[in-house]
Amino acid sequence: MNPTAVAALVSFTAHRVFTGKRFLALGLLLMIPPCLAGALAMAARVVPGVPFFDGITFALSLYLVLILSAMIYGIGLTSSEIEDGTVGYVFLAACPRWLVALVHVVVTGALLTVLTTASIAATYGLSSISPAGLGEHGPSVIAADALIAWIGLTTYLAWFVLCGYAFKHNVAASIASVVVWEWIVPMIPNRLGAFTVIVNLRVIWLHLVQSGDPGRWFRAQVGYDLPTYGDASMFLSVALALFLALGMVAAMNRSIAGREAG
Amino acid sequence: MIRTEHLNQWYGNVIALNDVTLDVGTGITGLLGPNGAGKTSFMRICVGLMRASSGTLTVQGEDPWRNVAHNLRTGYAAEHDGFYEWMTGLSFVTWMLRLRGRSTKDAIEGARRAIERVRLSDAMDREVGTYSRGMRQRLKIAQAVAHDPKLLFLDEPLTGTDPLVRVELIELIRSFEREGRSVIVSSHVLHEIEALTSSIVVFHRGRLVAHGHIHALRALIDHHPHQVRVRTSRPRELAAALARDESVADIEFAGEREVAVRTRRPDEFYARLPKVLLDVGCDVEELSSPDDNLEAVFRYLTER
Repeated sequence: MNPTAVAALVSFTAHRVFTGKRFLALGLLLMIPPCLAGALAMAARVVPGVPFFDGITFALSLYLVLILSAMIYGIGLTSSEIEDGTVGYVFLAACPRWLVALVHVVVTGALLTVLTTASIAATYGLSSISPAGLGEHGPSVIAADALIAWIGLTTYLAWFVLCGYAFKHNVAASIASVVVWEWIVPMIPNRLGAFTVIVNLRVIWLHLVQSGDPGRWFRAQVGYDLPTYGDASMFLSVALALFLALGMVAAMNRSIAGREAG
Repeated sequence: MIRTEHLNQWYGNVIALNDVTLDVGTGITGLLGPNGAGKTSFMRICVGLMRASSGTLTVQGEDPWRNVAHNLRTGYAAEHDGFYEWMTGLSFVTWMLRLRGRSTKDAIEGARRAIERVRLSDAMDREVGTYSRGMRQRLKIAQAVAHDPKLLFLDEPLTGTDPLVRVELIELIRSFEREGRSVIVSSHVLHEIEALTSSIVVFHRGRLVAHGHIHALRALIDHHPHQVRVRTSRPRELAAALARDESVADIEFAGEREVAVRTRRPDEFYARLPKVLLDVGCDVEELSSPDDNLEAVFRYLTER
């Protein structure tokens, strides 16, 4: 394997994170939590005593924003590039295909984590305008949230990359699978929720941020027992490893026919 | 250089390549066929972007599928217009070279050379999204040749270009051959291929219908009547005289002043024609043989 080509692949993947319409969409997404925190903080000066940092982080940063960010980049860097044919340029490089998939997940996941953490830190900072906005949290909560963001983003990216290379109708498969499995299933009281990434991420979050107390954050999921911290860690580890391995295998075996094939 | 045996490619129920057995040598080889004939699928399998459903393929002695070393020895310009639109032409080719293992400095130098080669230097600092079709075709060729491959695959490189650009690109592709590279170039426009090479491979509906030199192809279709059109002021008298010639298969009038003759023995026919014309005493305004160009060969081969 040519190390210069591998370095170029890492650099190229990082370069693509910060360019194009995807980056604009990501920027807008990441601005939502701090903007909301700022607005609530201003309101809280008038009506004090309402902690909201955890709520914004739980319901926005580590849920909606996290999944949408991973979707934008996961689909954008695989399915869209297969569709428009640009993936061919990377697949004809001096790097094996499995490495293209691996670098995509790892590098994009790391960079999105940094950006998401910056958004969470900004949310923290703006929440602190209102003394009650942070609850009892110190700045260390940002590190815990960053860890959860990294696990979540990397796992979702691995899933989207797998969908991108494995399925013919990859965009539809990517979106449908996440909407059904990660948004609808956890909202319905049933045992399947324990097998979703988002519920297991939340278990980790509860353990790190709320000392394992579901409290008000899981009011919607009253129909099943939450996984333990150990089970959630195991589930997420296995899911990430499985998605990543299958995504690399799918990349190795993906024929790039192109729109004009004939 | 390229050898296939019973190569098949399926997309679901659609056959893109059907039992293609082929041996392509060095130099420029033209892949000819209408849209959907299998040219793009063949090229993509040859460059390693696709794996054939069945059959064997070697390019420069190796299987191209998942072969990184093969990527470095070949260049590919796809038909599709997929680019990283936000990059400049120079940064695009530079990235492609870096991804092929060149250092940043070497990549920039190599990219500049390749862009200069395709005469795109004036626009190399503009975003690709602002390029015209002709410029995009040049850029695709630049990235394909920048890493100095011995074998180039150019999929419909002349499509959408204006006549001036076309002439320049044809000369550019010929120059690759003069440098010792082999070029596989596809087109569905017959005169484009004819302008580039006389070595052609004809695909139709996934099947290899002909392969070889244009003259060899002509020999392949000997049983296909050769058509000669004679434009004269006395078509009826000429037709009557030709009807008695044993080498003539049939005759029809193609317009008021033109006689279309089909012969299975063109050499004999051409040898006798001057005498017939003299005997009838008719002038000849135009003598043409549509079958002599690639269009007729192609039409016949794909319709038989």
